[in-house]
Order: sequence, then C-alpha cells, then structure tokens
Amino acid sequence: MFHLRRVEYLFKWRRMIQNRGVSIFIALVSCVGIVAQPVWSESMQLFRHRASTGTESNQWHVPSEIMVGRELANQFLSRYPLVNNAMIQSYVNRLGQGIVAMVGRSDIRYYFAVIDADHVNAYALPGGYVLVTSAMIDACKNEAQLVGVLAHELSHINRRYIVETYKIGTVSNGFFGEASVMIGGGMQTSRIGLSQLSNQIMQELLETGLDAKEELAADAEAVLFMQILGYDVGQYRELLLSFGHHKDSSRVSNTHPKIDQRLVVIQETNTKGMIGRDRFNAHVHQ
Amino acid sequence: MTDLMPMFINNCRFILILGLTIGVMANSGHYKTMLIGDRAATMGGAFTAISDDPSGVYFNPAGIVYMPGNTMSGSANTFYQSSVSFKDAIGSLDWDREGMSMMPTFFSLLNRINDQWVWGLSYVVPNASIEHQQSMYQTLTNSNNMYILNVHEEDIRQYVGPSIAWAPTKTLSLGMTVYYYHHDRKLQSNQYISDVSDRIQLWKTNDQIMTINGITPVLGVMWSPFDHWSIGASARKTIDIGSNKKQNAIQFEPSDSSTIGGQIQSSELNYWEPTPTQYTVGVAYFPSPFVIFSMDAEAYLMDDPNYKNVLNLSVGCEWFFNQTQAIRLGVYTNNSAIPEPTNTSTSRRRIDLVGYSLGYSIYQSNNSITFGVNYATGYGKAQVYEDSTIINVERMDMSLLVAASFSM
Repeated sequence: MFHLRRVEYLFKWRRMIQNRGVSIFIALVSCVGIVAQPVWSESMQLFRHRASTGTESNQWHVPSEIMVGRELANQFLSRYPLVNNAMIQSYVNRLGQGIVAMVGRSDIRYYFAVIDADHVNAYALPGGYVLVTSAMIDACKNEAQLVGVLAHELSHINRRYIVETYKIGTVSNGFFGEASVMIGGGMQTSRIGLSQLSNQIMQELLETGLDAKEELAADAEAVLFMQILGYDVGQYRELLLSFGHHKDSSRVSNTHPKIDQRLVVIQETNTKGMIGRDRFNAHVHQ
Repeated sequence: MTDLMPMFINNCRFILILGLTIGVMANSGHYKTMLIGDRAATMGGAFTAISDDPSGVYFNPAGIVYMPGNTMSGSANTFYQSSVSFKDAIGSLDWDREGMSMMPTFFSLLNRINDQWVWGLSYVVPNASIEHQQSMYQTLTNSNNMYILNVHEEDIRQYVGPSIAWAPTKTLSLGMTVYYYHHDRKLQSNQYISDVSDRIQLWKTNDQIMTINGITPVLGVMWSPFDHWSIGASARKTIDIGSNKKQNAIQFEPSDSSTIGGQIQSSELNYWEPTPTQYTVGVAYFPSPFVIFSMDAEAYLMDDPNYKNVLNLSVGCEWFFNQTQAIRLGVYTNNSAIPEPTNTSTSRRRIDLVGYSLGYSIYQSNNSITFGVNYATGYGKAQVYEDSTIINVERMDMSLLVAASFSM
C-alpha cells in the first residue's frame, strides 16, 4: 500500500510538473537570462552572420545595377524628354566622359544627357546614367561649374549609393537565382518587382532627395575630382551660392541639403584636400 | 529450415485464422519523421540554438529576431519514402510496407518590425506519407489457396500559424509561435483468405478516418552569454480543440463449411491522439562566419501510460567552404514512444531510428538554394498478429529535399 501510494504521489507530481512545465520552464530561463547579463559582449550577435553575407558585393550586382538604371532612365525620359539640341548633348557627354576617364569606375559605361526640365537639378542613376536638367545648364556660368555638377553626380554612382541602399543585385542572378525562385513557388517575397523598385527610387530622387550625408559626401568628392581635373573649385562654390540667391527659388530643387552646409563641406575639403600638399611640403620645404 | 518450420506454420496459422493487424505504418510513435527547413533539415534538426532563419519559427521562434536583413522567406519541397519490413510475418515471407509523398513541407515568411521585434508566418508539414499496397499470396499452407492483402493509408500532419520574437537585450530573446494543428489519417485495409476449395475462410475490411484539430503553442528563448555561443530552449504542447474518428469494420468468418457468419461494426467517436509535451534544449558554437556546430536534446513527455517518454539527440554542423557555397551534416536519433513488445502486450511496434543528413547550398546575393538528403534506419520488434507473438522489424526512411530562401 505504501509503495502504491508513493507511486501515485510521484505520478501526481509528474503530471503537475508537466502541466505547469511550460510556464515554469520559460520563466526560469528568462530570469536567468535577464539576471546574468554579460558585460563583454556588445555586438548584436554579429557572430551569426554567415560567409554568404559577403555575396552582397559580388559579380552579379553590375548587370542588375545596369538593368535598374536603364529602367529609371526610361522613366525619367518618359517624364522629361531629351533636349533637342545635338550640340549641347554632345558637349555634355564629352565633358562627362573626360571626367570618367580620370575618376570613373571601370566596370560600367557612363552616359550623360540633358533633359528638358525647368527645375535646377541633376540625377545620378545606377549603372552610369547621368541626367542634367536644361535649367541646370542655364544656371551654370562656365565649364568649371558644369564639371562640378557632373563630378557630384559621378560621385553618387561611384559610391553605389542607390545600389547599396536598395540592395540591388537580385533581379536576375542566372540559373540558380531563377531556380531558387521557382522552388520558392513564385513567392518572391524578398524581391521587389523591377517596376516597384524603380518607383521607390524615383520618389527618392525626385521628391525626398538622397540622404543628406550622402549629398555632402558627394560634394566633398566633387571638390577632389575638380582638383584632379584642374578646375577651379571656387566656381562650384559660386554655383551653389547662386542657387541660394536664385530669383525663382521654386526652380531650384529642394532635394539637397541646405546651401550653407554644402558650402562648409566644400570649403573644408578644398582646404584639406589640396592633393599632396603635406607630402610636397615634407619633401620640398623640409 | 526445420527450426523455422514451427514459426512458419504458426505464422501462417495466425494469418489464416485472424489475419494481420494493420496498424499505422507511418510515424508509429516517432516525432522526427521529416526534418523541416533547409539549413535545419540538413543539420540533423539540431537548430534550437541557431534558428536565425525562416525555419526558426518551428524550432525556436526566439531565434528569428537575429535573422539578417529585414525580410526573409524560405520554402522546401520534400520527397519522402519510408519502408518497413516485418520479417517472416507471412510464412517465410516478409511483410513489406512502403509509404511515400512528394509535397511542399515548409514555407515561412519573416518580417522585421524594428531592431527588437520580428514577426513571421509559417506552414509546416512534419509528416506526410501515403501507402498503397496490393499483395496476393498463394498456397501458404496445404489448406490455403489464397491470401489477399490490400492496404491504403494516408497520414498527413500540418501546422500553420504566426510567430513573434522580441529581443529585450542584445543577448537575450524570447519568441512564440502559435500553430493550428491538423492531423488527417485515413486507413483502409482488406484481407481475404480462401481455402483450396475457394471457400472464404476469412474476410476483413476496415475503413478508418481520423481527424484531429489542435492548437500548438511553441515558446522559445535564446541566450548568448558569450560571443560566438548560443543557448536555446523551446517547449510545446498540442491542445485538442476538436477531433473525431470514424470506423467501419466488417469481418466475415465461416461458422461451418456451408454458411458464413459475420459481424459488422461501425462507430464514430470523439478521439484524441495522445501528444507529448516537448522540451528542447540546444547549444551552438559559431567559431567563424564559415562554421557552426550545434547540438540539441529533445525530451518528449507523455501522459498516456501506453506511450513511453522519449529522448532524442541531434548534432549538426555547417561549413561554408567559400562565400557562396556551404555543406551541412547532421546525425540524429528518432526513437519510438511505443513501449517494447512483451509477452502480455499486443499490436506494439517499436523501432528506434538513427538518421543522417547531408546538404549543399549555393548562395547568391540575397537568395540561396539547398539540396539535401536525409536517411534514417533502425531495427526493432513488432507484434502483427492478434496475439503477442513478437517478430523482427526493420525500417528505412529517406527524404530528398530542395529548398530556397530569400532575404532583403
């Protein structure tokens, strides 16, 4: 009898523990986890990242980048047609190709064009497409100022801002990419359709503008490019000042940071970035 | 041969008098019939301390908060085949049963709300098997002319439901998945025995349909006390919300040489298949972005005295041999919850399995495709007659999977 009672007692306890096991178990482990906070691990569990995350910057990006850029260019041209002036188109393109020869990427071809639009702006599209509005051409007083604009846009493309922001690279990845799509039963939940992607990018380019830090970084790089090319950086500064004083401010696009901020960056870069100044002084004026 | 003769005659006698007991073939007391996911399925299911991809919702929902990127989805299609061989069950012949299925077994979508919260939705099929057997045996004994055995069985278990995970600190996360559970099983069997004069000696048919509906909450926690280490734990229990079982059984036996007497039984009743409370603990070591080692221990605790508690172990590793390709290996146990057959029990079939998994993945920007194979085998004891005669049984499971995942 005693043995039977003991068995029943144990069985009753086992059932009770099982029935309440879930809540007790989780509560205990949670308490241990909250109390025993490690002081040496500050990472957001970056150790979990696999080697495959490095494939974000791989050979497949460029064709995808060009495809997206081409789609964006089509959308722009459907809104703002090309200026019907072969001379100016040729001039801007030759000027741009000259800049590319010195500071462009080697894995894409660049295209420069003037679009018929009455707002002062220029656009850098992934894949090497640079579009300058006719209003911007009108706003430039000399070649140095136009070079500054083209250099600024080139910087965006070189820095792959849109490619990295929108993680472009999965639109078409060859056999295994397509096979993985098929096996996934068409549920392409991590791939935005090309048109949806380009709509999002268009909105950023035309309305909200790129990230302010990116714009300022492009200004700084434009200054360096102009120095390399031998153009007067002061003219780029003059151009930006003219935007601030433009008699028709509605024509000046508000997709960039405030002029004051941009002028500070240009000034700082122009002072610091005299190429090789310290090296020259160290060797020549030692 | 002489030693086998008494067994041969006994086997035949039981078959010819009473037929075989056609029990469930698929998932007889096993809980890891088909492994889920892509990485997890090819790492032996040792994923509780990793769980940082779409299959994490099933293994340990706390882990999904560590998924890379803002959106992730994954799916898998699996071809599954299971073969069970009851040795010398029909005279000196083995009774072989084979079930298979080819279907999507997993789909999951994860979406990041912010750095601390991730939600998900998933559909999981941890077991799916269709068996169709048509067999005819002749002249098993001098008095027997024909024994016909037909079996058709379909057994599918499905889970579908949402998940949520929260990381209150950088090293601790909690998660929950609430699944709707649906188990559908159909079993039709027909046994016919005639004598040398073509008179019916026995005719048994059985038609069972069982439907089980339940809610299965899965609670998970994950903790990383040290860099490169992760400890995970999860618990789950299926709660019945409505089930039933319908059965029609017909048995005809001749009362004498000229007449046939029979009995027909038909029933429909509320039925609940006992399910265990499952606790899983896992540990994983991430020495580099190229390698992971993980180990899980799963305990299945049953309330029902007709079932045993089960402990399963699994170990797995993942190795990226370059940035775009990885292989995975795993070893796991799939022990049975059915108690060992004894001299006083009937209709028990117990086979403990050991499984091996192998997978290969190719990665490109934000997507991957995985090819994998799982193979499990084991030996055990079974009772296939109406009495407590115990025979040997062997089982082999194999599944081939093709899976894909996307992230952004």
